Amino acid sequence: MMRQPRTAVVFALLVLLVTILSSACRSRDGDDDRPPIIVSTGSVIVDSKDVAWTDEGSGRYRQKESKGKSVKSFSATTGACVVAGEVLVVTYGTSDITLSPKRRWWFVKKDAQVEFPAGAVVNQPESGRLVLTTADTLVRVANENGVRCDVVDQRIEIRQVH
Amino acid sequence: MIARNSRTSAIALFLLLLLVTAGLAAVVPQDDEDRPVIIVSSGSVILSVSKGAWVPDGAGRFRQELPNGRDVQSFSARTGAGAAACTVTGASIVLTYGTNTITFERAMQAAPQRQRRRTDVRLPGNAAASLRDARSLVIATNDALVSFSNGGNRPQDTCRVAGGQLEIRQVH
Repeated sequence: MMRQPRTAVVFALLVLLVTILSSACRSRDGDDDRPPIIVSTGSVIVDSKDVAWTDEGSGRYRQKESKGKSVKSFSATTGACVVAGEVLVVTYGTSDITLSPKRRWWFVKKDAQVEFPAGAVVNQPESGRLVLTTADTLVRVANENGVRCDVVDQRIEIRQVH
Repeated sequence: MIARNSRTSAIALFLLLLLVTAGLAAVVPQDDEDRPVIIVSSGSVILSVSKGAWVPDGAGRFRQELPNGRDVQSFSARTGAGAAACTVTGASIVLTYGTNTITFERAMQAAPQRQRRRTDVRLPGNAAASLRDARSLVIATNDALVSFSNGGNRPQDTCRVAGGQLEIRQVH
């Protein structure tokens, strides 16, 4: 006679256990897979150390520096690779940024001009610093003769040659 | 006739002077300043997810919030493609950009989902982090992505980042 309540308690515990287990399984089935986390670079910066870039329209920016020497050509270094030329083309993803000397007026010195692809989102959050919004990374830098360097550590240093 | 000749000579002389002055100005610019070096670099690090949200948790921490997300048991980080792909797995992943690190680690979710772990991201103390949108966490930096590791010392515990991108799977 005393055993009946004990059986009932065991039965109740069993039912509880089954309920918890089935609830746990159901909850796992209904849960969402967590998404992959993509880590990437988000922009390309063209930085000329405090010397402002003047927006010339159509994706062109010029470094107007009245007392700056005339720019004859450029020399780019990335890692141990150096490429020099009058025109340099920096490739990021499948797009290009072109750097060339531009005469301001007749007989006047040349400034550096940087030209971004049409439709590129470029802003200058601080003087001398152009920020191009892109998920693409820097690929290579080449001169007008096709001599090129693959970009090392996502950084190119470009000297303006006078 | 003489007056016309002298006028022509004066104009020619003036033009000659102008030419010489312009020429001298172009040839002797010693007082002018050297133009600065132009640095072209990758500009920021973005952590993006296709669902859920990054939520600031104070002190350079962000949590990846997904209310019904499964328990995160480990991470599998991969970069590159094909034969050149490199993968690292572990209970946490340490990503190096420049000389800084970002740590991906697990943390217990708050009630009512205490039994599940989510992903937390720990950034350097001085990192300039902002949310472009709920799913994109942007860290402003000039430094490029360098490598990632599971904290081990074996060569297979570390990968160099290829193509400026890596994918971190949250393993259930």
